[in-house]
Amino acid sequence: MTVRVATSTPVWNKGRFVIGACGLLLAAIYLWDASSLSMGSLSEPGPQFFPLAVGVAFAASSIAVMLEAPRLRRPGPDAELPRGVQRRNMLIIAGSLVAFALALPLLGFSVTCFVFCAITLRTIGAPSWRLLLLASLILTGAVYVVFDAVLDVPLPTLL
Amino acid sequence: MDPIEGLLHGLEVALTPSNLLAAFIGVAFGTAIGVLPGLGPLAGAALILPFTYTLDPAAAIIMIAGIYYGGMYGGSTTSVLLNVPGETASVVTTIDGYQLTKKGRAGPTLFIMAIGSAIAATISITLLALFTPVLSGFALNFGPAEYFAVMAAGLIVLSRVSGGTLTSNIYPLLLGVMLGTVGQEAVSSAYRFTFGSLELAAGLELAAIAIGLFGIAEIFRLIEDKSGAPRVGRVRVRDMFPSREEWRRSWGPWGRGSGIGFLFGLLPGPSASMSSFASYRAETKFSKHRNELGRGAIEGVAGPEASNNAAATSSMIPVLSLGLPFSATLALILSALMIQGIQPGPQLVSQQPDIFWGVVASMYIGNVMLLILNIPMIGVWVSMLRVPTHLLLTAVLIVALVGAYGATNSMLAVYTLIAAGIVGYFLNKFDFNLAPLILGFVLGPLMEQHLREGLFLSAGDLSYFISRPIPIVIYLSMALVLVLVPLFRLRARRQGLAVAGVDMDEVAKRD
Repeated sequence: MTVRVATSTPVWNKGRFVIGACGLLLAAIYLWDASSLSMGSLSEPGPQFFPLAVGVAFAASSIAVMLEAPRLRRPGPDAELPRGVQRRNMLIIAGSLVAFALALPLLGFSVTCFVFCAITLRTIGAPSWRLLLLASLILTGAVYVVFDAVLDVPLPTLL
Repeated sequence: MDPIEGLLHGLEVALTPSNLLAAFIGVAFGTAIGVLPGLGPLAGAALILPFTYTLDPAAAIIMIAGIYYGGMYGGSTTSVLLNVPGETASVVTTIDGYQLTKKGRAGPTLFIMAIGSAIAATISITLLALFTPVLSGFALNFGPAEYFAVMAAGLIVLSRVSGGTLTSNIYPLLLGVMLGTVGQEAVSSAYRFTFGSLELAAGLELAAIAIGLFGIAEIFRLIEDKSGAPRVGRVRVRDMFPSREEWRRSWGPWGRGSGIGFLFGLLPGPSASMSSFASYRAETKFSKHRNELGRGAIEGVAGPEASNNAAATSSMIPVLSLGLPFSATLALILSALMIQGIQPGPQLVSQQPDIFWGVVASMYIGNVMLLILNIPMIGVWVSMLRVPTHLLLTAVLIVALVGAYGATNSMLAVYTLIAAGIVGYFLNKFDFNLAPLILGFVLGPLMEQHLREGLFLSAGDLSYFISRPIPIVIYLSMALVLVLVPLFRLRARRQGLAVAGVDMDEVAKRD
């Protein structure tokens, strides 16, 4: 039988605490926005009735997450946040996702998709430039054919 | 319609060319996404959900169901070949599966798994076809109190059995319910949490949330993962035939696995994963060769793989008979039904025979297709593992982005997708379960509806919800499960799978 050694796990505990705190903040915004809705009565509950209950319950669960965070021990090794190259790559990917969302209405599908593919391939795989451009071109073309021609999804275009 | 008539009608539906194609796309895509480590059937179903909006309802459900049970086949391939489970229901298969590969028995192991999966699925489909109409007939008398009880009890049990601490499930569950309240409200048409945005009035898009949580967040994890691309050996079809001994030893585990899987599928929670563990545990008790388990015994593969397929199939019973899903993939099936304008619930079986019997018949057909895909064509999937990771990940990212956009033709879905991906990555990192979030999002609005209807019917009397016999029975069974689970876990931990170094909590996390 394997014996699990309980070790102190700072990153994991801190992370859970932060998630609890974010939840509490979110619950506050949610409840604040819900306060303008009408409550109705118990026999005819209004649109505020359910969200009020859910918001309070979520606030309570967030507080519970924060309170238990320092006391829990993670089974197994501590959680690790990415560092160095890994972190840089992940930030680039996350950034290019956001950039994709912002650029799509402005630049249209083909340009946005091509650039996105090139950046992502370069970040994760770093193949040669020729392969990179070829792969991006094929991916863009394939997605365009599948969505626009086969599935009839009108993709935004530049012109 | 009696079951025989129903099945014949279902075959008529399922054998039309378009529905056959839908089943094939479903099982093939399911196998592919199951083979790819990291991405599971849930990500697959979410990715394909937007594409089903234009199909007819039967084809849409046939396709998504195909991904779900097809993923159970694909997920085990890498467990055996690479010691890397393709999805959580195949984690336990790695224990003996990889040992068998080391002994040079990879081919026969894959063969035994595929046959066992098909047998278990067939048994489970047959039971589903028999039970669902009965259960839905029973549920026709359900009122708001009964529905509310099934949902509330189901979600609470799910939170208790899904692994991790209670808050690791409750927090995402409530977050999902909150997200589900965004948009124009049905009764009074009031705008809730739209912050003045017209796009938000229609609510958030489930497909975008699901792809974000189970696709984008997984891709972040894969990028973070430092281990390089796996090396796989060749699997030749002629080496796949099991020996007489292997056949003989598989029948028992197949039978036990099918039974265990079917029962687990009826419970709320990650039933496919849980059943594969239960099946393994059963083998350690009942198998004649239990001493060999952990060192490459075929029983340790045959049982769990049969059970996860049986569970994947039987877990559709609550959706088809009550309209209530208790796993995230099934929540996607429910939402596909609703988007098609079909009111899910006990009347589905009698009023939509095309859908119910069509799906049942297509599952028989789909499992035959899966046998072909997983035995003679196994080489195709193995070679898919040689595709460079960066190509695969980029392709998935771009399909996710465009798919989310295509679901609603709005940029809101793309923003939702990215936000869900980032939130999902962090929730995952700190061991929060993501499946309850999807379930909360889908079931939340239904709970609100039944709660308000119930209060209206009883003129504001809250005791209405616990005054009828069925809700009382449901809440009592819930209480029983809540008491029994910790005891069961404690026992399991003492004698159970810690031996193999696998932690149930860790496994149930992302199903």
